[in-house]
Amino acid sequence: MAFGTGGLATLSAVLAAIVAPVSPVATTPPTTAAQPSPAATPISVQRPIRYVQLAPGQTPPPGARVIDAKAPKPITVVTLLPAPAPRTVVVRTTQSGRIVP
Amino acid sequence: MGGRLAVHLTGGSDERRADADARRVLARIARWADRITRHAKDSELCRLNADPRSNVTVRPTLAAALLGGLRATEISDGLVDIGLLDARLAAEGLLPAAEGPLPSAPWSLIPGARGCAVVGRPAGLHFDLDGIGKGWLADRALHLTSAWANSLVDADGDLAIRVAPGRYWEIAVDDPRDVDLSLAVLRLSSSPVGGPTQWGVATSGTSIHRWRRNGELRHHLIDPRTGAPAVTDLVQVTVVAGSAQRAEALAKAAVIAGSFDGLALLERAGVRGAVFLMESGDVLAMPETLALLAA
Repeated sequence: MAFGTGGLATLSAVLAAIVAPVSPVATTPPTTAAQPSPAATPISVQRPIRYVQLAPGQTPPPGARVIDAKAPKPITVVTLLPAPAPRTVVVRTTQSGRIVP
Repeated sequence: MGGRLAVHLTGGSDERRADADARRVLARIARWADRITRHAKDSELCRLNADPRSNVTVRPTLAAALLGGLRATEISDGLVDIGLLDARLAAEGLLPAAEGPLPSAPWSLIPGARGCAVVGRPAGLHFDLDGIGKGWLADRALHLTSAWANSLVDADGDLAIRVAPGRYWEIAVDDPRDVDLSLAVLRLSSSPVGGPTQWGVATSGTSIHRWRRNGELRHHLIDPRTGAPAVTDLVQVTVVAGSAQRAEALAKAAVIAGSFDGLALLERAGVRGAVFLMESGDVLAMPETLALLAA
């Protein structure tokens, strides 16, 4: 494989205090006004709130898990890819709308 | 839904049959796409979006695609949300921008008889299936090619792939800065034992659908936490997973989240590989990807 020239890179980010809510995924009861079948299983979705960042002076909600801003951050190791050797490949994955020859 | 569409079938000796099967699959994809696009006023999706009622019964194809949208929200920790059409149109300047934060907009899908479902939503919630719909179309179409052990459906860059034992597909990851270049070339093989292996590959990013508004460069990937185009250090992410739909949802979520949170999300999701193009120009890959690189 041709990635010998690549080096290892790491990504990290500086975060302030972060709070994980007690119940990370809230589910709203589904609307039941027009149920087509008594046996139907409702499926609902709500944007889950995993973390919130506290502004200065804010306090976390009761029971929330508080992650100290000074705690060690997880580091994801990734690999720097060199450009691949030119070759003819028929199939390409692209962003949608990309015009390819 | 716009964009390119291709079906690749290999491994058989009957070229005429392959051609006929590919044409049949393409026709089916076109019919599905006509129902779930937001770019044709008479599509089922547009009729749903135009319906003022909170509870609307939808037909099986649209119900299945919307269910795919719900799944995308689940696996992306809420970062992919198909209920953000108005925010996207506002970002494009086609709707007035909402004042203040987005209201919480939960919606539900209640399965009914014969594949139909009832969509329950707050009044005024409109859906946009574009990217998620393409991954869904690719996966659904791949099922139609089950007679071919080695097949691939390309729905505008979202790929659903079946690889026969002993075979492989080579996939180029597009470099959005130069149409003649690739960021990487992946070789996706089958498992050494058992039947065909399925893969999904999808790419999402901010560098194709973008425009300048009031002097500010904006793009189409809306962060549901802000209702505005995501502020991100990633130009493009390609994800390799077990299905195109999953790959599309995770690629989009990673771009929205940015490199730090996006990598953590992809690790938790257990993707098979991922390639990132950073704003800095660096091209990074998750370690799992190295085993997939073509020699």
